[in-house]
Amino acid sequence: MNAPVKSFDGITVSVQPPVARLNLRIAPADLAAASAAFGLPLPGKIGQGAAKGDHAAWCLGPDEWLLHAAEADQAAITAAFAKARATTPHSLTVISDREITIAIVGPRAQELLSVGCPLDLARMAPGTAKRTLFDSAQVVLIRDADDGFRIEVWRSFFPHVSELLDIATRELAAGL
Amino acid sequence: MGYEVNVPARHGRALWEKLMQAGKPLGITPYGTETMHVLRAEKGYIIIGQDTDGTVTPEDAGIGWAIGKAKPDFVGKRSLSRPDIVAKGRKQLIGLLTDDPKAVLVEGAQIVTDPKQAKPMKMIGHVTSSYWSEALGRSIAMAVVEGGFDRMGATLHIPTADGGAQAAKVTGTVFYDPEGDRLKVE
Repeated sequence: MNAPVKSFDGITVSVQPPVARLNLRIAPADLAAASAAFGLPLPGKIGQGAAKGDHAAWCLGPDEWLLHAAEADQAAITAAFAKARATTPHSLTVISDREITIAIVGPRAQELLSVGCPLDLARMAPGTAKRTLFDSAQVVLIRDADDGFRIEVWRSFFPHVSELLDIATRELAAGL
Repeated sequence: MGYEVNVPARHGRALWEKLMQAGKPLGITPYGTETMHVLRAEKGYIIIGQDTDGTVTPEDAGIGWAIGKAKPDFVGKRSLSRPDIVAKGRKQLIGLLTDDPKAVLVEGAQIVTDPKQAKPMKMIGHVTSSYWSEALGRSIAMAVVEGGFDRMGATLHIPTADGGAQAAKVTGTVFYDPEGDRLKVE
């Protein structure tokens, strides 16, 4: 009776496969060099996302971007940025193993997230991302669609966030 | 001599198991932070913030040797010769060995010279670190005590919660191999 419910009609919560995940810090004036190295025009507005194939990027702050790519591309990406460093100072940090992605998809996904996230999620547009909190854990929240989100949470906070999502999913499934 | 091995987190468990397996014929022994606390205390290595606070100078802590005496000047040099910093009776870091070797003092416990004095007692310091030492087969402790360096060999008392008191002798802070013979290599 207490078997974990990871999905019901309203929501599916699932851990995503690993990605190449990188944190980029670069002066906005130099963004073109980073876009060239990454092979994707990086968004200039805070919160905005961009994607091409399996490369994706979100602007999290005035000089900070979150980059995603296929795991197999990680070495090529870090090499391209290493080359760019000769002319363009920046910091590119591989954080692939630092975080785990939880996808939350379905008509009640936004409602589920509101259990732990203090933001007014109705105002979060698809294609955007924010650094925020889920309960007391810092997370990056990505909105892919009206009914699709991803939470990126540090490995050490994952059990806490995952368990809260499980409990909330069961509560919603039970009609609470 | 030590190494720090870093791998992406997903490989942590596998790395641990490989290391333990490779080290088994060599007697590899994992140890944790509590063990490290005891080991360092046995050798008198202080923990800044536990054995010291903002009032404790290097001399008070017995590590005045670390100050470069030949340096013509450095930030803080003048402070070290202020009158209250060189005054007698400053709290100084010493070792305590309880008369009852099985008694482990409570960290934070106050120290007095006469446990029979009327309350409020004159407190002359407190226990900063206290452990059971398996290697020595007895308890060890460090404390900051007024004029501690001049009290070597004296017996002090640590009142306990039940109204009694533990007696302990003032010693140096290096309990295990104080001569450092084990560190000498031929």
